[in-house]
Amino acid sequence: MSEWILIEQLKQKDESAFKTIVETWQDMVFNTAIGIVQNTEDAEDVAQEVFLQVYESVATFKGESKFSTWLYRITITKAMDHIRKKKRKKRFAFIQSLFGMDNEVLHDPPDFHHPGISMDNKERAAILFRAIGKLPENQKIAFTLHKMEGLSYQEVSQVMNTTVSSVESLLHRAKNNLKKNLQGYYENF
Amino acid sequence: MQSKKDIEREVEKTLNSLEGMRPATPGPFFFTRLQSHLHKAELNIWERISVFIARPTIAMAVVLAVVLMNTVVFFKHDETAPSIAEQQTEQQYEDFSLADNAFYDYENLEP
Repeated sequence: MSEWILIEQLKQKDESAFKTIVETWQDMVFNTAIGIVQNTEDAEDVAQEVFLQVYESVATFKGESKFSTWLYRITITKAMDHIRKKKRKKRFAFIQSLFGMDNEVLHDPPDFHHPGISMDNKERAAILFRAIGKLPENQKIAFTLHKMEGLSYQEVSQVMNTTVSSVESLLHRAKNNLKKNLQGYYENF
Repeated sequence: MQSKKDIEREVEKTLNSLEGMRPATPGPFFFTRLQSHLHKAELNIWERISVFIARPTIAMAVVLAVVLMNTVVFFKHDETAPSIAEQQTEQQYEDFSLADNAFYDYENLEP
């Protein structure tokens, strides 16, 4: 069935159209989310939030961009919101621990192991993911979309609503920052 | 301590560690879980409405509106209400059936 027919049916709150849309794009949404939030359970929560948002606001989708571009935008927004919320919680817990209001010990999150990485690359990829997690927001988004989702510079620029040259610059800076971070890691290894 | 060349090699290998990765997929029954979330979200709309109604400003406004409507109805009712003498006359008519039903006779004339 054509994408446009499905979207029109979803605008009428058709449940079967919604199911088809979810089954068609769930892997794309989940893979993007897991690349940004770096946690399987959190990525699942983000993916659920994305499709709930799609169901509620599909009427606002005018078709000026591709449906997948619109989905990528929602996924990135939700994933970044999730990270900010988690950081806020962590900061609050830290303040509570300073005042002795909470006896829970604060732990750094464990290394993230992406389920799609082969066994022999698992440790290296975990080190790389830790470095990706420290990148500024825009660089992280551009890197994730290009390297993990395999989007072209043109597609990344459409999702991020920017120019191709800006994406090139973001990816160049992201790579330099990752190199610096990894050099620091291996020097102290 | 590693040499600079070794470090650069390690960095390059790590940067390329995502090559050939397979896309991650959500767990089974993703749509079923999503459906239950959707149902919860729909319920939440009613919860949100009840929370909105229970807000102090909204609740006070509703109470004031009810009091105002009662006052208006009370004074209007007072103006149009029949006097005690009229009420007593009406009561007497009802008690002794003093209503004039003669018009029935004009309609049901025997041939």
